[in-house]
Amino acid sequence: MNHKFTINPQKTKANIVVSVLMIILLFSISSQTLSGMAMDNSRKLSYCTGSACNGCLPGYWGCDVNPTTVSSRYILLPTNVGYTELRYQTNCKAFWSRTTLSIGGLSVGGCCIGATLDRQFQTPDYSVASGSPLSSGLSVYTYIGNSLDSSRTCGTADANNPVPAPVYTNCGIFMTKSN
Amino acid sequence: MKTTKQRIVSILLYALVIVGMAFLLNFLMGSLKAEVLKAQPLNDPEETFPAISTSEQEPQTVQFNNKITEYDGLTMEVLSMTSSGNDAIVEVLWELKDSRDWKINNAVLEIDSQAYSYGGFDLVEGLFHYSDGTACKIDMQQLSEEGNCASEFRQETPYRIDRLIFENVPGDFWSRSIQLRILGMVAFPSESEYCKVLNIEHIQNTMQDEFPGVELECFQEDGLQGYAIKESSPYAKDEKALAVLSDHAGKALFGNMAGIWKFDLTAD
Repeated sequence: MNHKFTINPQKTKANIVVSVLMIILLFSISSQTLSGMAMDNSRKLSYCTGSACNGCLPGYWGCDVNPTTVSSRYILLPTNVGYTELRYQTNCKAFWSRTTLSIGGLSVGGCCIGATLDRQFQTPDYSVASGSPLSSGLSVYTYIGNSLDSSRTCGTADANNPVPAPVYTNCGIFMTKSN
Repeated sequence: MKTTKQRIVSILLYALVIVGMAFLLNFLMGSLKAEVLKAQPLNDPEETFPAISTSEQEPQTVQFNNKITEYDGLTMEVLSMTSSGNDAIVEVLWELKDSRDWKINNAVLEIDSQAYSYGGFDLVEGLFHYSDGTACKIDMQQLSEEGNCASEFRQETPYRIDRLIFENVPGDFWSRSIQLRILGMVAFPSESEYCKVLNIEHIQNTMQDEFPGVELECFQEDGLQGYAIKESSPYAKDEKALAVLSDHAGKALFGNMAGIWKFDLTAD
């Protein structure tokens, strides 16, 4: 059988358009996954860096090793019951927020604390709130975000009621790269 | 009748439109947030690091020379004091005694003998020695893609420069008597070391005499780290046992260093 092979210009054009759209589709899906999704939090053996860290718990990539507190604000109810901190890790180039009840804070069985990593120009912000009664020395911490994205810590505590997530009280200043 | 190829193309186009809309929505939400933040007046004039500036009130800063105090082998130096809105911000350089994440947690600014509360701190820069033998310099005004870590930094004394924030001070505090007292530091374990530092087995053994059979647990999961009396064990809801546990845990988790580093910051 003699097959006839001709090029249809319209079909070729459609194929090119579909190919380009497929590339955009794949790029969109990958970027959405990085910025917004929670991940398996088992510990990895190497560090993530910058935006690749977004949306993971600090321990996922080992970013919870050798972190430094770069900003802190005390939580008063009306006396000092705890503090919220902006945490930074050099290898990961990552920020996250942590809120901790201090000694002499809420009575045993008190409830609850929350922390938010407020990212000034990025979404989403990362938040966490405790869902169980708390006592001194207990803490909550958020997912991590790229430290080149201006971020600040916010946190709260409530002796009787669940706290909102996100929370934008007791906030520190926005820390960022060189302005 | 549509061919298979046409159907696949149609499905792909529908999928693309949906994902595209989601992507666009995400982009618009980000832009909206940025616009809202730009439109909101900042409550704190030092809201954006590192500038301590305000559009309404020009900050006033005094630099100090030789405001150095040592206590228990640890040296602190006050570098400057700035008025910023209703706050006084005191920049302090202090040495770190070991590789833990030490923070100043107790300080008082006395203005004409009235104490003003310590609201927190912001790191300016520091040199940090870590427990794994590494050492890094961090400059919050120049965070960059490249880290600044080197083994030579182990030869230098680790330090922090923090801006301590004291809230709601009187506007004319410059002309008054000003005393700064730094009373203590605290080190809380990193997220990876919480249960190791807490050592719940040791606390459980310690509590056996008073609460025989009590079983304790430490947990680190999904952004929550804490401890509890096991539900299945005696004293799970016992207020006294919980209070004793909380006391032991607090002592185990919070490394403390008390002292008094006192500075007279009154204008000459």
